[in-house]
Amino acid sequence: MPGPGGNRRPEPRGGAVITEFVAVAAGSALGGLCRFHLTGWIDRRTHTPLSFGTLAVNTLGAFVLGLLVGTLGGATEEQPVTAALAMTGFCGSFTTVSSWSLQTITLARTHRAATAVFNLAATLVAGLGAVILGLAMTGGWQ
Amino acid sequence: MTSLWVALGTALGGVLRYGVDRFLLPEALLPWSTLVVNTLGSLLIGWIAGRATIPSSRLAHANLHAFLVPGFCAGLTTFSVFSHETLVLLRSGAVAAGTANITGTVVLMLIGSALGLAAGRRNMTDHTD
Repeated sequence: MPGPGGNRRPEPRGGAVITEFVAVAAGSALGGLCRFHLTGWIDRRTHTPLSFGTLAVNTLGAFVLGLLVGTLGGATEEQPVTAALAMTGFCGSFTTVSSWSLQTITLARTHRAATAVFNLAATLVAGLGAVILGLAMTGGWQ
Repeated sequence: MTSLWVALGTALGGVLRYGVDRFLLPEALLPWSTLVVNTLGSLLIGWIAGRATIPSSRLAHANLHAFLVPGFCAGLTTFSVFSHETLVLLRSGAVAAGTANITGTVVLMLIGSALGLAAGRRNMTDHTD
């Protein structure tokens, strides 16, 4: 079933759609596990009000997504299962906005307004920079 | 055991995010589907955080918390895809749209978490959940 107007990808048959969803689930589960353990590992060592674990996974995930987009290039649409597994699944779920948001609100609520603003700005700049770096390393930035 | 709950929650969140992107919201001027899932996930994590302050709440239980917070909410939301989509807009010359995507995401996620937190903490004496 094509979406209402402007779908990006050619619509595959039902079985292919199920394969894509399974690939997203598998990539997400792996990405979530890696995020959970890496965030915990970093936060246990830093002990700061700002979660460097969340900042690190978001930056690293953005970098890996840049690498993947640069590597696959225009072939993303011809390889929907790979894209679903690695990009939407793994990179999508390795990174998080909800934790970033709640941690920023928590910083602001505990009178660390400057740290909250830094958390927003640093994450945004690091994320965009990391995607650019990933693309540049794989020839996807011309 | 915690890892299993995180993996299950993340898989469910990721699948829902993909479903919204594939079938509910087409990409128009802005990548709306990412904006919507990021806002919803931020709202939900705020509400759970508010609820979890009540020790008798089921949401304070470790396994359910692992399934919902580092699992479902984090899987539903995505920072990497948001960054890439923003970069694509900025590179294509759609600077206004790229800036709007950043501003909209930050403002909506913060409002979502703050509202969710306030709602979750509101009925502190209500032990029904």
